[in-house]
Amino acid sequence: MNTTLFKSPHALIALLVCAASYAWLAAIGASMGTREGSNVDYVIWSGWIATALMVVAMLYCARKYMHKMRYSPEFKMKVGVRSLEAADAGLNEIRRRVLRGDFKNRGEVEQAARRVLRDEGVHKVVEVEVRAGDAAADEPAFVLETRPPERYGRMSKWLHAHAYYGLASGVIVIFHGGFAMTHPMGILLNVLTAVVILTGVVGLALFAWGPTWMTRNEKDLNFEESFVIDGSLRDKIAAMLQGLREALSGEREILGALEGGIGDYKRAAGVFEGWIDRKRTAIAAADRFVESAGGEGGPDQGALAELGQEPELRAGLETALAANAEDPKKLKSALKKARDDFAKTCDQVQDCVVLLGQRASAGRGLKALTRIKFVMNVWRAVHIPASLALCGLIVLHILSILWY
Amino acid sequence: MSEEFDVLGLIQSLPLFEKVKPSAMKKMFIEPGKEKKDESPGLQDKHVRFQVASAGEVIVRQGELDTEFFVVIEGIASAYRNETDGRTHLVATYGTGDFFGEMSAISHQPRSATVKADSPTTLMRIDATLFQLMFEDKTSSFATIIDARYRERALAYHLMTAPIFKTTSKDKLDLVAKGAALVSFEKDQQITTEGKAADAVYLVRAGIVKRSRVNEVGIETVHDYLCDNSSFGEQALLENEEERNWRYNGTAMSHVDLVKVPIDLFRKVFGDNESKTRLQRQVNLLLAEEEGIKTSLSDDDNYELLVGNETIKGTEALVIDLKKCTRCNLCVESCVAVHEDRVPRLSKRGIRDGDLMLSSACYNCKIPECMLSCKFGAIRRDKDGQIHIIVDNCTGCSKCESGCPYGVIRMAHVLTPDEMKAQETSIWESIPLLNKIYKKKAPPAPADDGVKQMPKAIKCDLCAGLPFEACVYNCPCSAISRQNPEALKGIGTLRVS
Repeated sequence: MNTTLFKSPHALIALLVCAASYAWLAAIGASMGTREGSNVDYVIWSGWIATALMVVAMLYCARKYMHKMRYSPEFKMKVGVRSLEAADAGLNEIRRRVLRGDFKNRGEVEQAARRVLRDEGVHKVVEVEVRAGDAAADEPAFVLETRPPERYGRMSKWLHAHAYYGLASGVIVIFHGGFAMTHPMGILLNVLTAVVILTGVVGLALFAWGPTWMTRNEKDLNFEESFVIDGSLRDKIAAMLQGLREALSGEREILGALEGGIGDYKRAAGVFEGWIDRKRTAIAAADRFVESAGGEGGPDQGALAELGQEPELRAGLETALAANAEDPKKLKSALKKARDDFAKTCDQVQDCVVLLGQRASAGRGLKALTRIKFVMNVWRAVHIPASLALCGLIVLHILSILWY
Repeated sequence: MSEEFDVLGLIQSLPLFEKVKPSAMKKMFIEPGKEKKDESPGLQDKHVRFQVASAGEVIVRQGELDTEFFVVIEGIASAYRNETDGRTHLVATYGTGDFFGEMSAISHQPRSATVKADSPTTLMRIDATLFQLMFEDKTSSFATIIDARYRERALAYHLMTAPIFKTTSKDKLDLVAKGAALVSFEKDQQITTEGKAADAVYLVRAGIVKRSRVNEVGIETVHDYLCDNSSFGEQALLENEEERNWRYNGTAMSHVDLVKVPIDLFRKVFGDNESKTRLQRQVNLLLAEEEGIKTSLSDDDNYELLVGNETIKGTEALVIDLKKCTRCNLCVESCVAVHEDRVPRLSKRGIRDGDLMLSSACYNCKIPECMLSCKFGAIRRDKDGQIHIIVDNCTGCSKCESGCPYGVIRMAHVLTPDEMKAQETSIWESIPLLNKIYKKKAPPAPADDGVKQMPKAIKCDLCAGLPFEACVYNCPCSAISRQNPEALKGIGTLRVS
């Protein structure tokens, strides 16, 4: 379970905002919403507070997309590796000066290090931290470490703000409107707020418990690997089928079953079972024929007759027999080649079925994981459009209040 | 005749480069008449660069991590060493034809001294790849001169950094350096054999040594991998002559250069009671520490797997907590955003331990196999210890990809500026649903000039130059973090994905 969300300071701030708003409402003795007895000042201010909280909540989305599109301000801070190296050399010099005892306190080291970063123009991408060294661990008097400043906060903090201020805005909206369903606009605003908040809460629950659920179901392969394996098997099967199409042009049933893909794997396996039995019998007959071809009694015509259902194999053997009747040595190898060509196709079909089985098995795992992923994401299909619609309606609501 | 060729004449006249393998010289410069299309005769800037340092300019700094080797072409430079007590003293002065930096180039050690130009100085900088190529040929004058100079200038200092000699005085170290032998082993060559008489203590200068034991049924158990500046065989100093046997098989995992200090030399140098006791105490401490590590790890059956995968060789691991990761893929999308070529460096595959996954992101190994396997100078370590790929130097040979023990390096089609422009997305395309309606016109296909574009090596660059590490910074679930692999030794059931 991911508990990081529950340890956020934004939760406390959001709670305080809600509590203050409720305290104000209680203090003036007004009732919630626009009904008689409510206080106009409170209604107006609670509306602005709810709007402000929603704007803060939406900043998370803006930040996420800004970063994806490289518009976030951090990209403007980028510096060259040469400047970083020069700054690092400068910091090394300070470390040596620490060893020499040139600095009296931590502040002096910090000041000198910051000056180096500023001089090299990397102060926006590197931050220094100075701590007293541990003599027992053979450390110098002051240890100078660097880290990226992460000036605008990690995305996780923005998500915390999004979740808690979003929730708080929902609470303030109730104080503001009293969940009044008297006008179409009121109904729309209240319903949409409820939808956004409820789907958001579902999202929070999935955020906390979803990963554990997903991980528990990732037995042998994780979600990303399942895709890779599935793709690799799909490509292999496609390449194999490409080669088999000509060889199986006369056998529509097995070809159709193989082309049916993993969705049709059970049928393919059933068809293959009957098909391969027939082929094995034919191969055994062909073996007998090949064996007898060099013998005194001549080729076993009975065996050839058994190949009635395999006209291609029979034709191959007959052609080889006709072409090499005079030379027993050549005859045997020609017959064997005709038999092997036939057996090779059977092997390839078998490999293809095995791959289909593997893909079906991997696909089952992938399907289960995809289902979980779908459940983990489906709330967003409601949450995002509802949020966008709510924003539009809020703007309309504010404009109409200002107008009237 | 170009100016560069006058310099080449000078290089060839230096005793250091006499009898250097033609293949190595070819890497250093292109001879006139043998240049390929688009090449001009002269120095190969992939492996060799020139630097003109003005008087007083610092050429290398003590403590910095880089592996280049310097030859003074013209001018004078001096080396100074800062001691831990704060004193600085002059170590050496280099004139035309002199060289420095061999210790870092051989052992990948931080610089042992600061070198400053006394007058305007022209230097030739040779990268570690070319240096190794010339140095591995032990029949050449290059290896002989470097070894002689190493023994004369750096060996005593190098010995001082080894744990066993931590408390040894400078005079005694000089004696040890004088009597020690410099030996080399090729890949897979046996250095020590379990049960055979131990006759020396070895200090690793360069390369990797595997220490292992073979049980009754012939199964080999790896004890550890030793790299630069590690030593082995110290236990022999505590044992009687009859019992003095090697405890492990030592095998060279790559070309290995060692300093061999014979046991008899120890007896001579540390003959007096005081220094003998001090040395024994140091050896005891070292062995106790080693045993301590072994004991703490013996409970962990998977440590061997970690060692086998050389995870502990790395200095940083990217860890994904699968119990927190919602698989939203924002980490990969952020990684794509920070790279101009739009190719993500992050891979969400790797060694998995229950709910933790050690992603295949660069560990910035202490001994980077990728760097050693790259013969084109396309992989370098910066002064911060990070490994970088110089894409312009990459020929797409993929040796680094196979050399990387973690599968971190991948070959990918790196986009040209035109291709990048064509792939740029507008604001409308990045908004869900709207991107289905708005579709940018397909850019015209680039003209086929008949030149097949080779894939280039790519790896995680830790978002160099940006104030964040994109994947860690942008994970909304706090599921990704950078951790020291040493901290992961207690890891449970591992499986390699």
